[in-house]
Amino acid sequence: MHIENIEYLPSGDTALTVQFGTEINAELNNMVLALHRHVMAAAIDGIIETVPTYRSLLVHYDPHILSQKELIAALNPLMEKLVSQSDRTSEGSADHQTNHWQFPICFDDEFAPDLTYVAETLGLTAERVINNFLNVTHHVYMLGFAPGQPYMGGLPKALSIPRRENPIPKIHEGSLVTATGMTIIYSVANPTGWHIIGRTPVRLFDINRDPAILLTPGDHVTLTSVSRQDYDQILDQVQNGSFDMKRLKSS
Amino acid sequence: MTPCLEIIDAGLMTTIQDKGRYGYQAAGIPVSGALDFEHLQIANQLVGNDLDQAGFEIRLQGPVITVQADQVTIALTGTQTPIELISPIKGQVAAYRSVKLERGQSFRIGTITDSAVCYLAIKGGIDIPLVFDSHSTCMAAGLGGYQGRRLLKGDTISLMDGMPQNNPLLALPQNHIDALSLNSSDRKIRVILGPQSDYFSADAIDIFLQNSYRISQETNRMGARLEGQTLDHLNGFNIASDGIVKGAIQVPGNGLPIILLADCQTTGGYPKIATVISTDLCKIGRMMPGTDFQFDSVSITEAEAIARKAHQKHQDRLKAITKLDLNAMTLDQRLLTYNLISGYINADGQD
Repeated sequence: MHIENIEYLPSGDTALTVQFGTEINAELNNMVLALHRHVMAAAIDGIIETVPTYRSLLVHYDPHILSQKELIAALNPLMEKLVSQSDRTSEGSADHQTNHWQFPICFDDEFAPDLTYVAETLGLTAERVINNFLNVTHHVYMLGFAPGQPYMGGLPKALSIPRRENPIPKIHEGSLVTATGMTIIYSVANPTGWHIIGRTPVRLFDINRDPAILLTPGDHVTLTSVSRQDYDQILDQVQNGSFDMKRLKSS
Repeated sequence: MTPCLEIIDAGLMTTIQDKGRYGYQAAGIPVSGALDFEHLQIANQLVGNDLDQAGFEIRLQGPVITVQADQVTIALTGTQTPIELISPIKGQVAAYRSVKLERGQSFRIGTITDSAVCYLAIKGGIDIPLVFDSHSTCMAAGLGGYQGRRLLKGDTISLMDGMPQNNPLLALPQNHIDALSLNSSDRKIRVILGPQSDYFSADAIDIFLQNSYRISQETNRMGARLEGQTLDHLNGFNIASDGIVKGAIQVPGNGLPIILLADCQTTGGYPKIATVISTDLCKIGRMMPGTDFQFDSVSITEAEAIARKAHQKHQDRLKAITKLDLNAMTLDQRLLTYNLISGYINADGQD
């Protein structure tokens, strides 16, 4: 990564976009996440918060404390540090411990209304499609669109399918959806333009739980297929608060 | 019984808002908060609250409320429509001043026509839990405020208990109120181009800056949808999703810009042609559906100078708030003010 490739894009007078590139890949995303941690750790007066996404970091700041020029002057040394670190290590995230989660997913027809369509479009059997999702490690690029909702990558290119032509107005919380080679698990009921292929009984966002938000950008996720019976049993435990979230973490 | 406000009629869209929920956008939690945060601060100042305390944000058509507390001090700002007292006492109380109401008093905030939003502050504030450090309602995520939703008929909104109401009545002088009104000559919304203005041709940017746009009826707290000339994208309308700030102007596939507002999502996948400067965010929040305006491009340095000036003006306005001058009021208004508070001499002199 060369520092010349990193761009500052104006986002009004209260935010600045630090763009590392235009592609979606884990290397760029790890740089974004590393800068996110560096900026937070530096606790610069006037920076309110930073939002990491696939390939850029949005820095929200208070213009009555920092001008954009002063903000850039404060960010530059952090960027230089980051780029020199990324030269030494292959991954920008080497300074950071990532969590690995294992999510139970039920692929029964009722929870996977688009599985047949996805399989036919890709020219695969439904079983092959499922196995592809089970066999890869999904990288959490970012949380967005809804509280705690992960945008994940890691699928082979052959599994990439365009978005739906007509979005559907509301899908169930916990839905596993895919489009453009990416995967999302819906944290709350919302509209979607993606294809629904399964559902987890685990809640990614639960305001009454500590922590309310389960995942962090940079985390890794693998999926396990569970029967309808297991799904119902886990759902019961999740609903009565007896489900042990630690069970989802693997080393 | 806990002191509360009983919602007899909720109006079109009444939500509880403070300055917003900061620090959780990386987890996908929207900021929310008052669309016109300056007027929420003025309302709070009028009742002696901390400036950033939560109040009611009222959209276009206000609620009917009954006081279920020994006494409350309230103030309405953002509109010049008065508070209408329904029963037992009838009358009108001007906006931009505080007023004390006793148990059982019902009041209405009617249809407002001079702004899309107005604010009602209550001395001592509303007794609801902090959710991610804020009282703001985020309807899309169903969190914060009162049960994560807009107020509905029959809700009882608890107030902080034991708040002394011995504060003097306050008012904002009329010249400041007049300066706050949205007048027709001021139909410019200033923007800084970017972060994705390079997704549009120079022609599209000219169209964007040289034509007027109209706030659509579909506008809500998430975004102001605009009607007007469509803007063509150079190379498609999908970007790898990135972060969104309030005021960002995204252009989806149909080419019609949307100004993202307080409840907007934290990230989005449409290119953003420009961003409204912080000084003009309140103005966009106040513009009624159907309002025509034009964008004006400024540099970051200009925006920063404008923000400093506007901040100073806002501080001066807050400082201008003084004790209500009863002698400057009409006799009717003076009598109404006395009448509202037992202990004062009654209007008919029986006390």
